[in-house]
Amino acid sequence: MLHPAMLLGLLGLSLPVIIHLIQRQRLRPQPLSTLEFLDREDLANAFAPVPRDLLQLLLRLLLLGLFVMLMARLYWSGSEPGPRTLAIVVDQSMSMRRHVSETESLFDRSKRQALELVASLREGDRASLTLVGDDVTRATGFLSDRDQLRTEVEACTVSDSGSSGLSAAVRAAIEQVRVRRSVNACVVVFSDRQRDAFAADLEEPAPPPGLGRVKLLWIDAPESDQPNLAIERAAFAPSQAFVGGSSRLTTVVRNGTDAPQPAAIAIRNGQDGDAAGEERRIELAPGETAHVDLVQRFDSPLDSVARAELPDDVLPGDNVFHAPMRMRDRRQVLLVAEADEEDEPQSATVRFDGLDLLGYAINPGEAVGQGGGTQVNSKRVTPTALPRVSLPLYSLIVLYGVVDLPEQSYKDLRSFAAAGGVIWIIAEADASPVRFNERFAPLLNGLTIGQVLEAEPPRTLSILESDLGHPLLLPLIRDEWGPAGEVFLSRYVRFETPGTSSPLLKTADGDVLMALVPLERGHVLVQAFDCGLKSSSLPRTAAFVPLVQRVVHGLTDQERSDRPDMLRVSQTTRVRLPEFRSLQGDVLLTGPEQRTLPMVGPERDEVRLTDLRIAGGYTLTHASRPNGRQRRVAVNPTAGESRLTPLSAEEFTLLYGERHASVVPFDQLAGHFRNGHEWTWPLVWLVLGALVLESLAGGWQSRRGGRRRAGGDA
Amino acid sequence: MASTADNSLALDPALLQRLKGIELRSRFLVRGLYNNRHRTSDHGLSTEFIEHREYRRGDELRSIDWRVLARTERLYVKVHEMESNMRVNLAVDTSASMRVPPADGLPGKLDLACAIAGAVTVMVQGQQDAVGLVCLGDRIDEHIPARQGPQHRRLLFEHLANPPGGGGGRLGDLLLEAAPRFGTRGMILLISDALDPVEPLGRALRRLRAQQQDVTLIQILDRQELDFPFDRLTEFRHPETGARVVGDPAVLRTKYLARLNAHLHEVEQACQRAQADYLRLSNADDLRSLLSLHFIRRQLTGGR
Repeated sequence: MLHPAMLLGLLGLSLPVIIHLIQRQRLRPQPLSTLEFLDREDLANAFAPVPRDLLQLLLRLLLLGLFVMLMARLYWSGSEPGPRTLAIVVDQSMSMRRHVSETESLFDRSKRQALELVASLREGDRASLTLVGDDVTRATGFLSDRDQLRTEVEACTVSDSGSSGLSAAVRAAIEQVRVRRSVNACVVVFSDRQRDAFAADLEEPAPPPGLGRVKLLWIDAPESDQPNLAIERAAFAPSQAFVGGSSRLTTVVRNGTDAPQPAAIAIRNGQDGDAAGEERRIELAPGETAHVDLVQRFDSPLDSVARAELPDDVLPGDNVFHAPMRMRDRRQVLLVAEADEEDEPQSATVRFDGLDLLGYAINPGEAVGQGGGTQVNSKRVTPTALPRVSLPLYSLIVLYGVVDLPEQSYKDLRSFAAAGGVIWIIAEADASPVRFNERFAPLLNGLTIGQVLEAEPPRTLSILESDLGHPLLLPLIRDEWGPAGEVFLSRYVRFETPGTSSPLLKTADGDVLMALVPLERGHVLVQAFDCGLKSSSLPRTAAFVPLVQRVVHGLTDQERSDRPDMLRVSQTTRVRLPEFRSLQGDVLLTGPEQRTLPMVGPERDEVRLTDLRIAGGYTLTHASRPNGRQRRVAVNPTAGESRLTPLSAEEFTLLYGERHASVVPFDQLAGHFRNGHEWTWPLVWLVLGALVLESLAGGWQSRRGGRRRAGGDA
Repeated sequence: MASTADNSLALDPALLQRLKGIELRSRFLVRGLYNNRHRTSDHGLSTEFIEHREYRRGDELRSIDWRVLARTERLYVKVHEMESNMRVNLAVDTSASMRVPPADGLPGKLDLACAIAGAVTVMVQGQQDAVGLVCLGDRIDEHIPARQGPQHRRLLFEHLANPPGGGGGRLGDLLLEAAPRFGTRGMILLISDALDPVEPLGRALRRLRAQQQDVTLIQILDRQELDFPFDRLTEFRHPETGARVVGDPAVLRTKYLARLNAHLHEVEQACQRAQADYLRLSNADDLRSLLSLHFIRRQLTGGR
């Protein structure tokens, strides 16, 4: 009997008896003018001493009794196995990658055994499949079709996720089977029962799940005593390097076994091949964790994903850790200045000494013939040549002393700034303020300049940080680039109205010397003095080159500073892709898993990475430009899966009780199924038969009552 | 009974056909306003000779028996019987007990009472007599004095189509209350289920008889009341008092029928004591036959 509690329903047998004795609920008032001739003492006869309609009463009792038996799910145990209801739970966490033989991992073996179990299902059996790691990735309902089940099992793959969802999945499977109220109900779990997966349950033990008649069978997994080293994390420092430069990869290696283990840590680069990178050998004591530094030289100009590797051991999944290798871009600076009259317009030979000094400060190495030390390329053009220059190639455009540009160039410059570029306008003293304000009005958002101030005596810089609206040049007034007191200003243009600008630098008198105007995603920097030696002493100080470099890099590097391009399996993150902002369509994620991701976010320049199960190096490209710009993302296994410590027997009993839960070898699994057969269908037919008989008896009694009345009339 | 579209009583033509030719006569002397065929207590101008008596001042000269004067030279007048019309009052019980819905498509008690009253109205007016109507519920709900004529008949039929009334239980008292309105020497047809207490009813019948009224009680009962055919546990409710009895009819039936029959016997006895004619009908009976037979019997026996 599946539900002995249902026998309480037999108490319901008293109901028909009471109904047949009382029958009050069927009384309809019958008007009778001769009521005074009825004996009022006969009220007691509302409770008939003898049940009426005895045949119907007996049939109703029989019907109710049979129904109670049906609800109680009577069954008998035979020698032949009865129909089974199975819930198969397969753990796909990284620890299931553990080798159990030369050629087979624990997951492979579990999958093979699950297939054998599916193949052993008979007619009438039904089973469900749940594949779970950190969460459930595959869940079928109860299926009777063995081919479909086999297909589902064959599609299961191991992942690099943890097993934090295993406990909940097992409880859900128990509930799923329990509510089916099957005689032979069983939950079969293929897992290595890593203790970490049940840490929360062990910390605050909940009552064991109500198994009822459900059997919980964990397939036994052999414990491992082989060496197991794991890379817990690795990261490059600095996180970005120029081409040809080097970066240090710090790798944290842990010995998770009880014996000393030698380790050979190597760095590999997916693009440069296995030959690239450095290898280091160390000896790790039991339980020891080591930080190993490996130096990698970046020869490729493209971002890529490097990996720190250990030689294969019993659990190969945690022997590789991927780290993104991010390249620093060379800055492209465009200098726009008037050329000498005798020179060709395109040659742009330097006419002003201030411009020479600025060019030097932008790339000192190039200026002295030592190559791109600051990784900045600069190009000079005249204003008339500006419309023929492709502005998106540049991150910074310097307008040195120019006011009159071709009409189209003003629109191009505004678009350039709106798209995230930076424009540095350096006003010369002899420029007409009216013309300057008129021409650059689209770029300045209300900022206007006035007349030139010949300062006598020269003005010093304000060192009050509260005067500044932007921290770009804070190092200057903090004397980080040399004494700020050595900087004097003798000639500069005064700003009349600030507009939406923020002051970057001020004189001690409060005159703004440099102001930053935000323009959509970009900026316009306006400088009130030129770089000539007559205007200020700044070019002669040590602060000049750092100030220019700060402007070149500080305002143009912001978007690349916080790329979240490394995550763990099962984590969710958003990756900003401003380079795909102007493109329509989805982003392709390629690597161990392939995805098509929509652009999300307020500016539709982000993708959401979630549910990645396989560790490795991934590439994000835009669907419309598969060979265009790429972003590299490193995905690594969930931390904590390397400790191959299974649940102890006591802990297992604490979690699941000892009555119906057990760990069994797979070859003994068949012996743990019950051989119950339900009486369901015979009882259903009996109930239906009793129902028909009761209806016939009711009809017969109604007709008999009608005839009796008719006889009375006659 | 059925009502026509103009809210008037519609009678069964077959019933009227059966009653055609039957004369409704009082068993006693009547007193009417107009000359008619009914014998009265007064002396008048009919052909029926009663006696000779000495002439008194004021007697009509034409009533002097001239032959007796010629022989005896004494003035004698011939006294003849007086014949006048008859006032028939229909007293219909319209209490709630008469309005109990019948079973099995049979007519209700009140429907049957109104049909009888209507048929009698046709009979009475067909013989040039006056007919009136009194509806008795829990009070005298309607009183239409006895008159003749087609307009009066239409008025009666309208009231019989929707007889006012309700409540009940005071039939005897109401009859006593209505007795002065009936006058003397007439005919009263009381149609009721007569399930009220017998003693007040008997007193009222005797009072009416004392007024020289020819009273006929037509007691109409429902077949369910007479046979008590219920077989399942039933909740019985009195239509007038709302009293309730729940019981098994199989157990109740014997005593019930005994008490009912005793009551009916008492009613019949009360009618005999009051010299009232008595007819018991069931709504399952053939009204055409029983009613016509009753009036024929009265005609043949001279009302006795």
